[in-house]
Amino acid sequence: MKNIIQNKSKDLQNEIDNYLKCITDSSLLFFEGAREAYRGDYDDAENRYRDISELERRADEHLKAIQYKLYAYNIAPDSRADIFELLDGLDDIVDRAKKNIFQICVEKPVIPDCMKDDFIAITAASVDAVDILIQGVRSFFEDVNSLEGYIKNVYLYEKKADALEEKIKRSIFQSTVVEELARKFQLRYYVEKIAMLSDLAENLAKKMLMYKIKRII
Amino acid sequence: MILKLFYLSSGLFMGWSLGANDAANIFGTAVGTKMVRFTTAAIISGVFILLGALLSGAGTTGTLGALGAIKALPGAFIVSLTAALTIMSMTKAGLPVSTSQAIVGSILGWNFFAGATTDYTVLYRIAGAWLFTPILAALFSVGLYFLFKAILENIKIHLFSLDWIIKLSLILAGAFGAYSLGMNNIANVVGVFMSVSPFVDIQVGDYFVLSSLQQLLFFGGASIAIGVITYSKNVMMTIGSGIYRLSPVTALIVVLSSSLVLFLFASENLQAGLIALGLPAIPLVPVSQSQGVVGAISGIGIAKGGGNINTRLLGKIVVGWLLTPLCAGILSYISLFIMQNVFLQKVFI
Amino acid sequence: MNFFLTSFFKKKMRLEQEVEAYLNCLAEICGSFTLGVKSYLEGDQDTFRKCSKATSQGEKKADEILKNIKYHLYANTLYPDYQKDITLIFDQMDDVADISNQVLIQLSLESPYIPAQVKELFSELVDYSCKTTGELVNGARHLFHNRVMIEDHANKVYFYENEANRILERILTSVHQGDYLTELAYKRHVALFAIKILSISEQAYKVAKRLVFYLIKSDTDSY
Repeated sequence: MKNIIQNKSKDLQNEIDNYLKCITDSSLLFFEGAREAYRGDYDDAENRYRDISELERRADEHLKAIQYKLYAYNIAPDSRADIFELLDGLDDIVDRAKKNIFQICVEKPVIPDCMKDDFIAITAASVDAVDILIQGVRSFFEDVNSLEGYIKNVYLYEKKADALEEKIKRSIFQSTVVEELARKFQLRYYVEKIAMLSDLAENLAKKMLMYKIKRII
Repeated sequence: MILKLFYLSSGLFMGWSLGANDAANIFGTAVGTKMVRFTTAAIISGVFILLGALLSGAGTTGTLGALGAIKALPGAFIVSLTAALTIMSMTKAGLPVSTSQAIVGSILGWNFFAGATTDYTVLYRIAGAWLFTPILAALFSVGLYFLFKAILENIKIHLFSLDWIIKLSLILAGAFGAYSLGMNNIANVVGVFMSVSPFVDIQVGDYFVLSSLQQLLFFGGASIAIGVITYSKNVMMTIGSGIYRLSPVTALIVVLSSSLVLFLFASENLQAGLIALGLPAIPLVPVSQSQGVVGAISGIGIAKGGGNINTRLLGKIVVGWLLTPLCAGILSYISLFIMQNVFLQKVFI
Repeated sequence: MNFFLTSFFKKKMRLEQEVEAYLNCLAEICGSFTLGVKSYLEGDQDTFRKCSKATSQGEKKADEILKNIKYHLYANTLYPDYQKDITLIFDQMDDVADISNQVLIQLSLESPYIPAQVKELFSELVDYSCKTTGELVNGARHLFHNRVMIEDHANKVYFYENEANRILERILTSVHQGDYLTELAYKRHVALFAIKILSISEQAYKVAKRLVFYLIKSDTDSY
């Protein structure tokens, strides 16, 4: 009864806000780190990796607090499993971004100059998909009627990332710029992992749409 | 006195089972979806049922009294007991029965046995109220559904703030539902004992008199409240409840709609107001909350586009309208015969 | 009424027995996988072949038991509200067994050269994979009873998966920045096997999260 009289949802809202900030910052740091790595500034990229690791740790703490508060304050019991699944899915995105940066820093792939712009473009498209997704998640909580607009944009950026992925792969395998097969495989691998961020964003966007439909009375 | 209380026990048992079963219709979804804790729901239900019975239960109680004035306590005992037994057996047979229909059938059985005149005007009013209960509940729920839909589609409110508002609304609606249940259905519990109340008026201080009717209403209301607190949790937590599977907002609409119908058919003030305005008065009749819930759920189904209407269940309700009073009446008649001729107790004066 | 209750409880017990059998199978697969990879690292081809066979047979047996679990769940309408969740948990758990089997098959087919400098790290990685699977199995044992223990085991899965990630990072750093492997193809070959072994922990991590979702959905706090 106390939980009803005192509206404790503000506390939980703040926790979710802080969590979403961590995710947004991680994706932005990933873009900067990736760009630095493509330029050959691996020291700067490694600093970004350390920053993302720290943000990921903080995001995990916020997520634990969110789970606890959803339970303890008995907030939205009919949809808390969906809410938690949605927020937890965002953690996979940070995880993927962190791994991508790490692998680039460790393996130091040689990206041909003619492909650098495309690599930056696919990274930007993936990060934009994640950014729009986070805005969609905020809309899911605050203004569910505007959600579909955000979801459409996530799909758009994911398609853009897919198109760039295809273009880069064709360049890698059909041109003579990269000769060694192992290098071709390496570059292909990175492109796929970068595009995976937008795929993860799209999957979450689809889930969010389903959760929205469940909320219709 | 002990014998008198024994005779009253059948009514109190009816009250207990009413509380055990019907509270799930008020707080079933709220507790089942964990929006509200069971303890909170039980306390609110208990308090407001008692208040409803005590403050506003006289109207419907008077209507049943007008249908059949049972002036012998053993007779009232049998009428109440046979109604309870009819409900138990019909429930076992899977029919959604109404306490009101059972008690009316039993009273009619007593009327036939005692040779008392049945006031058919009152009977038609009662039957009309039964018919209109699910229809009115459906109409209310359609209206509320579109109102809520319009509000939810146009306001920008955080999900958690909305959750808090819905929780609070479920509690307030539940309190209103409990009050309406108490004020409307108390007649099923103590209506037959009105003319033979085992209590006497109690003078409290110089100015306040606790009448025997008020005491009757209190004990009846208390028995319903005890039923809620002691047994309704099982019913609330199982799939048996009609509104268990609804979302919190839909459950709110259903609770409000069915409670409004119960309130309409029990409010003396509303009736007096309508009469003062020269409008037709709504009869004060105990009606079935469960059937109101079925009507309200059907109303939502209609509002959503016509699907989800459980025609099979509606059909069963119609069968119940006919079968319940008939079975209760026959059982009452036979039991009164046994009580009078085997146990040598006067069942009518 | 008594007959129906007894029948219902018998069906539930049957399901729980099948689940127990499945989890035991998974634990055995984990054991034979760990021994198999370590044998490969040590050059003990005989033991490696035996373990590969055992893992493959275990994986087939697990598939059969899983079919029975799904049958009992749906045919007897047990846990009707959570059938989808329970099925998803076991399907994803099956992936853990599948990946373990695939790793051994790939080791057998591709015979990657694992440098001595990273053998110890590979051994640690395999140990952590086994630990994540072990904790996952322990958590899943509480699916129907004493569900509060699920979160405890899930936390351990997360911890061991994190440790496995650290080992992977060390392997990748060593392989790519060390000078004992010069050709990129060899570096990537070793790296890919390490990533594949890590994916067992990652899959166990996913299942652990799903167990926690199931717990949140089905929590029965006392009221």
